[in-house]
Amino acid sequence: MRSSPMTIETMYRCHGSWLLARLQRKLGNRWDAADLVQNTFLKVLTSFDAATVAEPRAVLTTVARSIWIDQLRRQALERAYLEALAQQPENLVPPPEVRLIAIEALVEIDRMLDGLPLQAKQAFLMARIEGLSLGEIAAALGTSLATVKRRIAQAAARCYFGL
Amino acid sequence: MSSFTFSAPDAADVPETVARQAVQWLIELQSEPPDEARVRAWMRWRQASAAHERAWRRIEEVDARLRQVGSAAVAIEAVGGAESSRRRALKLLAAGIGGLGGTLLLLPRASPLQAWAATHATQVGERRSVQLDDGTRVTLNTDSALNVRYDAARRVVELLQGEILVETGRDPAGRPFLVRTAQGHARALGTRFTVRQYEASTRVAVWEGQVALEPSHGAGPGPCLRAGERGGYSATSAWGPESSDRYDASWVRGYLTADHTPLAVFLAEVARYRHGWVQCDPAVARLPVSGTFPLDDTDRILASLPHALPVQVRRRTRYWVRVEARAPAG
Repeated sequence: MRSSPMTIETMYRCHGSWLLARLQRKLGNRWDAADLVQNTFLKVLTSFDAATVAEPRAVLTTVARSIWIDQLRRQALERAYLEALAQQPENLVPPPEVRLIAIEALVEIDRMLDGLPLQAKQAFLMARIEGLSLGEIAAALGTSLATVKRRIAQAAARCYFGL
Repeated sequence: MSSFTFSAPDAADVPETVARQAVQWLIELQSEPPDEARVRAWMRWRQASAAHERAWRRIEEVDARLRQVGSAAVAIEAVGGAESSRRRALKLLAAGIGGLGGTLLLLPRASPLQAWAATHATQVGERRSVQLDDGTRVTLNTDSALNVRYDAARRVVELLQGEILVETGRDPAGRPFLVRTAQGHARALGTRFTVRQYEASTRVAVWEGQVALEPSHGAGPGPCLRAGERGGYSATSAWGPESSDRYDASWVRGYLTADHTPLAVFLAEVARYRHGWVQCDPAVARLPVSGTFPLDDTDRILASLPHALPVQVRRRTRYWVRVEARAPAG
């Protein structure tokens, strides 16, 4: 399907209700779907030149999907964080404003470490948050010193320098 | 989908070769022991060019962000837990996400570089008292570090990590006495009190006299704690007073006391006094622990648990201990 050049308004008029119906079917919920449609068009508006979009429905689907994944990821992180906190000793549970900052940081860290093997993430976080030595990390993860070095180097290059 | 991710600022200013060198240094410094010659060599590298310095600043900046999570245990749990649930969630798309399994890792803190530069420091499991010039006595708990910064106007003790008991001496010059932590100050008004540095907050308990809490970026002066009270502060706000309990300072006498303390809380305390990891199975996290335990032998504390509670202690390595529900007999 190849459309003629269009503005975001015409894109919304032509494909808005199609996207809503599609998302509603997937999510099974009209409100979430409507929110997602709105965020999707907002994203397209800020990240794309509508006139150059050749396949509007493909772009809309891709953008909606990426936003939805980000939302799920954030929710899952938040839940996992609160879950982990609930297991923390009471006197170690941080005050609410610190928790909010922590969740924001987690979302960012999760994104920076995305795609790395779980063991690389674990080794890196143990090293940089807790300051554990390489030997301690190797013992904790039940792996060799050389592997720990390689994993941390891999995660550090990605996390600090986007390599 | 890469068009929607943003690379963090500053990362692009560092040439790849320098970035790789910085990562190598980071791994060097993570090796033990962090000897002085190696630290000096690293500082020389860092000062050798502006790009080196930028690379290291970048690392420190991101590290500060990482530490905002509070603990690696929580970060690993959340990132790892979120990952598995995300996969499940994606499979089911909009279906609800079930409860997350997993265990809590209780990790001790260690900042070898900070401790290396400190005026007074203790190792994990060590406890020591020092007498300062004005007669003030400071007792450092396990894995703690402080700098003494006295000048004509003020007596400042900078708590870099860990926990201290302060018994202030009378200063002829009448200079105020402050404990500075990462989030602000505790100002002593002739007194005996403990200060403990957590990842993102500071806790204070007062035994004699009064202590005023002063968050570094607070809206106004924080609360003033009296004898028998405790409180705390983050960088932006303070809380308290709450009534204190004996649990907080028994470490000074070398004991850990527990009075119906949940096992997870208890193990978190024990973990501060030993190297490595202590894991607590969530199934037994709320079992109450009571008693007085000698801190000098944490292996013995752990070994005593199965006598009092329906738990077993599993050791995978010297550094990795897990307390879990006892397997059913038979």
